[in-house]
Amino acid sequence: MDSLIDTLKGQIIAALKLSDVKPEDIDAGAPLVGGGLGLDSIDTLELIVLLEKEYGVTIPDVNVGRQVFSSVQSLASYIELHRTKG
Amino acid sequence: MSGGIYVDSFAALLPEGIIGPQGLRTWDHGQSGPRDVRRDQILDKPYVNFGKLMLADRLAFGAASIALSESAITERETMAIALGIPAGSLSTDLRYIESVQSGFPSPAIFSATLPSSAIADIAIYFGIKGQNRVIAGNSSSCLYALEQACMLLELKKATSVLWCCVAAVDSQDAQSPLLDAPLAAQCKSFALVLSPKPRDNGFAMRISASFQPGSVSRVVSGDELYFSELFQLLINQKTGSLHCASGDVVATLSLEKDG
Amino acid sequence: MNAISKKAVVLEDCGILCGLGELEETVTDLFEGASAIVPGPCFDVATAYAPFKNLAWRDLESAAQDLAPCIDASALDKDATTFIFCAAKGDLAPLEAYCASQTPPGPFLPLLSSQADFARSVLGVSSNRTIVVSNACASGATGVEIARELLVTECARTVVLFGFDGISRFVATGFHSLGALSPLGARPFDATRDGLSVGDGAAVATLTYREQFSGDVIVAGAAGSNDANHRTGPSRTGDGLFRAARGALADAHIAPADVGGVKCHGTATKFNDAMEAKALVHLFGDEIPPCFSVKGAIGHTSGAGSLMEICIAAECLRRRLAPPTAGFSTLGVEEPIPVADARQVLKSNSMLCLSAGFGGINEAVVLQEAR
Repeated sequence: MDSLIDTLKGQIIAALKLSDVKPEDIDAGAPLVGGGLGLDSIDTLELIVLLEKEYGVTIPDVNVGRQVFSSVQSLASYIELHRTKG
Repeated sequence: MSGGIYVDSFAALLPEGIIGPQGLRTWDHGQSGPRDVRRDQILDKPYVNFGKLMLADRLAFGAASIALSESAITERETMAIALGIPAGSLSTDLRYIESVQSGFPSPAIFSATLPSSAIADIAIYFGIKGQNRVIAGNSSSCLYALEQACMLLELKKATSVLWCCVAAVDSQDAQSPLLDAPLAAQCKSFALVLSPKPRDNGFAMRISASFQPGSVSRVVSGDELYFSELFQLLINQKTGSLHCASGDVVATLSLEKDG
Repeated sequence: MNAISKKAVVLEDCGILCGLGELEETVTDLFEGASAIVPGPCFDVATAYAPFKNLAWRDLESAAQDLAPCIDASALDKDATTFIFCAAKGDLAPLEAYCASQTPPGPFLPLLSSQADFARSVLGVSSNRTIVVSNACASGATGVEIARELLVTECARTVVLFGFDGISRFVATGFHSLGALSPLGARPFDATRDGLSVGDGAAVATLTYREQFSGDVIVAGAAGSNDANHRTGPSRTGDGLFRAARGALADAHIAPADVGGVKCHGTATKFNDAMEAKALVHLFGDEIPPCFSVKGAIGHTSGAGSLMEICIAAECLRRRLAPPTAGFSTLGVEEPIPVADARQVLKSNSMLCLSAGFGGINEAVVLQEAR
């Protein structure tokens, strides 16, 4: 799980082009969307693309999405449960 | 066409370096030119969206940031933006199509596939809420955008105007048969803040432009030179006249000093 | 006929091409509550959409050829005519063909200026100035405002506007990736609305500056603004659209109470319609005139669409009627906006036309029928 979290941090930074952010700046338990990273709704959509592309995971609806993206930790847990690749 | 329009501030990202009222800063070792501009060269504070900007949007944002941070104008609700963008959003369009072909269309890239995308981050970051005029598609675009800026000021539809131009083609696209040859080699941007009033102290340079639409045979390297000349005059606070012919527009830009 | 008074910017000729066809038949069908939205898939995207009634129009040359008879190009004086091409993306077919199979571009390049030059020549227009306006989905409306300025400052005696935005894989996949598309069809202002439907659109219009005669539709005023809020979404308070509308009314020298009806942007996304309703309440207070959206009938036709919708609005203004809003049945915004699934009588001879686009762009145009 820890190595998935580390990998995810790097993938999030790359996919969302967060040029001023390093993986160690991201707190795995802190809010992801609506948190200190300043992510907007388009970033959330890009995260959905990232999940599908790297892990074969889809988000069925907005409510699931809200829970999944609440932190890198919750994102990693969801991937562990549902991944079909990566 | 107009008089009584002052240059409040200016900036440019050109092959020779970064230009602002303080002068010219050459590119750092390792930077090939405007396409490699870093956030810290245009903004003091980190900006979360900077890395997300596609090439055209990044260049426009870069020039606009420097010009606006040097500007004395604080009233942004009635500031307009007139953008000239010769290559349109072509490079961004090609990146989006690549994402579609990969099987994973990118929402972030798609939302930038418009010539007007280049003004979005400028408006958001600096709170600029007035009119927008985006003129796209060929080398006349920049001068038509200036004509729009002058019109907005003359008709008092804006209290100031950011006249911004960006020519941005990713290096991988430069040889593409999709482009007009004159656009293929360019990667640069500039921004002038134009106002009906001179600044209180320092920089009272008036710009006037007379436009002559009409059929002009295409000038291949026309607009590569005259904007560099314009910035030389501005940096050195010199008066002068530039005769520009580009696309289907002939214009004379004059810089004069008051008093 | 006697001239009424001072000069005004007159909408001389209009032509459109959309899912319901040309201008006359489109307006007739709108008043019968018809819709051109059909089930998908649209370029393999699971969404309803509104293709051109004649699919041949999706080719820029065919569209321009079929619109050419709507204007009298032979009467134009080259040295006093400006041509304005309005498009968000224009015709994307050449770009897509090149990317798919290296097909070299044909009679025009993907660049909007090349499309503009090509369309102008097919239309038979001679002009000494060709301006390409690409202000996202407000392009056509901004083009109209620019035309008005060129005419009243006598930079031109005639302005010909042409807009073209066709559906493509590019646009369909793009809006789909943003989650902006309705699977079943756009339902503007409706309680069950769940997104927009892309539509094909093209339009041509000629404007001049002359004495008004009874029956002329004039462009009385226009204004634009930026929300400065989000890359694609409007400000949640509708502030930008409100300021554009207020500016257009001021430019036309009329008060909100003088407005007869509103041609809304009404894309049928949750956010746009909610924001637009707030802007309307801010502008009109309790006395909002009849409102309508055509995007439930002909889809969201992008930059060209805002020119096309102004042409449609002019025809509605002549009839003094707002058409039913196709796709609407129950109001789904907090504010009591008078949108209806039946025709409504306009309160006066003025129509406010609203458009908005990505990047926070807003544009408002006021049309009036000279009495």
